[in-house]
Amino acid sequence: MALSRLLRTLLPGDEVLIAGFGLGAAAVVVAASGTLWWLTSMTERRTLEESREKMVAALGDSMAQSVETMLGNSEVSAVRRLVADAARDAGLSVCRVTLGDGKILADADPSRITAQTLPDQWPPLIDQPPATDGRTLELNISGKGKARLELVAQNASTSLANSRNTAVVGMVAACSLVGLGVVYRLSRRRTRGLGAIDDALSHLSAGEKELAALEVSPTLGEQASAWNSLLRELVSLRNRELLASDPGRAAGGENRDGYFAAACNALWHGLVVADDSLNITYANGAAAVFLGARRETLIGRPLIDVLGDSPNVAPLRSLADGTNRGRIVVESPLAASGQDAVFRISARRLRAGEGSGTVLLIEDVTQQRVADKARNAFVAQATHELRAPLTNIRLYVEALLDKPDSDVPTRSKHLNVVNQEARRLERIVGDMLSVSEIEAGTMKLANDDVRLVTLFEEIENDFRISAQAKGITLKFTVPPKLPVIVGDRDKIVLALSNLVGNAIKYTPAGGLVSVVVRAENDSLRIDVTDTGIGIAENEAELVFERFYRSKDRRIEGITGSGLGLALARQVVRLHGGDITLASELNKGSTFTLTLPARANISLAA
Amino acid sequence: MPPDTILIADDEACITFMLGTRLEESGFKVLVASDGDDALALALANRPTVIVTDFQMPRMSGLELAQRLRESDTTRSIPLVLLTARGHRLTPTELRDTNVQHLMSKPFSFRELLGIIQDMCRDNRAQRKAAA
Repeated sequence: MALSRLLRTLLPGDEVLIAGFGLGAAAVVVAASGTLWWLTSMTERRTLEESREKMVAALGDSMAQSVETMLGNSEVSAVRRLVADAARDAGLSVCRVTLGDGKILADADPSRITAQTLPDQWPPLIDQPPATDGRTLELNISGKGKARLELVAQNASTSLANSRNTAVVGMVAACSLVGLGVVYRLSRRRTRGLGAIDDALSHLSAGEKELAALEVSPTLGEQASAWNSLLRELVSLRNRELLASDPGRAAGGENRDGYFAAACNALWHGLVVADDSLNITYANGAAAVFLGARRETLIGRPLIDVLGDSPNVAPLRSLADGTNRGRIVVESPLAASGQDAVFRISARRLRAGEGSGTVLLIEDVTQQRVADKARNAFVAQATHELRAPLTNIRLYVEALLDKPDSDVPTRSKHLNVVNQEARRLERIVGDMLSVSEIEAGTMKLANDDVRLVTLFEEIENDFRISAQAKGITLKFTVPPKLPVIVGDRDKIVLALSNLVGNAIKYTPAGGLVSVVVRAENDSLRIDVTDTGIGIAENEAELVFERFYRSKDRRIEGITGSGLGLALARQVVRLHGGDITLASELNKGSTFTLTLPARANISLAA
Repeated sequence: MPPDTILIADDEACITFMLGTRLEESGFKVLVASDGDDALALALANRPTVIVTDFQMPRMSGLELAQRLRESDTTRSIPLVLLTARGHRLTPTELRDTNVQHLMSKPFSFRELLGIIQDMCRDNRAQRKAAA
């Protein structure tokens, strides 16, 4: 355990296992070598000891003879030299000559010598136990006495075996190290690959989401390649899953999916896909704009929260429980786009077999609703305008019927009102028709020869009573001779009637409305001037817009469709002319209508 | 017995002329206004028995007039006939706290209007007698 801990600290985690195996193998080798060495050394030792015993015996015999001779001649120093040499040469641990009393006459180690000189009287030999590991020889020195030669061989086998043991262990260790190195080198590539995979796995468990980041270098071997291909398979699987729920995010994926994602994103309608619990899984760019959030932040949010708390979107909740599999269409403002904007949200749950979840299409229908509102207002206004002359006709005819005996001037006056109101009805109906023609783009102009003098008489006649009733002076200045122009008579009357009618409508009692007609070179110029409330400069062009009505509070309650001036200008322009405005607030306005004398009629709008 | 006074308010001169002429012929005293402001001033000054007003008028609508009449003790109890285009729908909320007692769609018959005005004048006299 301690070893494995040590290895762990020394080696990278992935190599501990391999190093452990290597060391185990080395230990087995060492143990085997040791046993072998022990067996061989036991045999060798015996052989060595035998040869050593023989050598010591032989050496002892030859030395004994030499020493006996030398001592006989009293050559002590020669004996001492021989002993030292023999001990050194033969590697003897003990090599000495002792006298009968135990004194040492010569020794391999000179410091041990106790008898410096030969004794005068040679003492007799004392019995001595023979050396266990050496040889003791009895010397008989002729004429002198007896001495003893002791030879003890150095523990040569031990020393030899020790050195050999070290060599063997060193060799085994070296072999083991070499083997370990080879094993390590061989396993290195494999372990590095596994190590990289191990690193990747720990990153994965640490929360790394990007699978591509977990790939390891393919040079790390087969395992690395296998790991990488496994990863790629997982990535492609995951992408396929993402594509199924979120084609938009797969823009970088396969061409086909990228193509569809781009197409969805290019839609000008909002496209939202939600899962079964109505959490958003996809939103295209338009949807993000309508919902006032970035696309990424919409993903995962509950659809109902994102759409806001308008009661209009409540029906969409029924999609969540799966009971409603039909199409649900609601119209609602969206919190992010302001209260004025109106969106139509069509939603449908995918049917079984199509996948799970809900698809929503969000359309901005604000403009349609504005147009609808204007059209509805126009219809309401038009019906109101129709009711006013109808009321008058009914009241005046009723009066004539109730009092058949009333005087002629009264009857005549009542009939005039009826006639005038019938003409007013005609104009309103004409306006409504013209509006629908212009709206539909089907306005056609007739090619009438228009006698202008008669036309102005008619208009003056039409408005005389209403001007009088309001206490307004209506003054027409028409030259006795005017050219006959070619144009659509009804439309020209419509345009002029609108101008004169407006002038009377927006001029207070006691005011003046004048119509001045002039023939100029090739054109006809008609100025309709009033002393009314006037039009602010910033509204001078706006009043010609369809459905536009001045923001002046003084006209609140005055009926008007917001179409009269738009229509008048439109029909005059179709005749090649125009209507312009010069006005001053609180002083009055002058609308100038110009028509080419030979009107160059464009036959279609 | 002094004649009942009827206030007529409409920006259509032909209508006020005809209604005024025929109401006078029926024995009423008639006041004419051409917009809401005029009508309110005349009502406060003359305290008419019945007010007949168009809905759509310059400056002040007939409905606004009917609300403003509630503000003064002089005019609070004057019954009012509101003339409207049929397309214009008034909600009960809009008519709450107003003097409007009868809604009449244009076009209408004078005889029908006369009957309503006469009923209102009779009720008014009965109430005054009860109070006296």
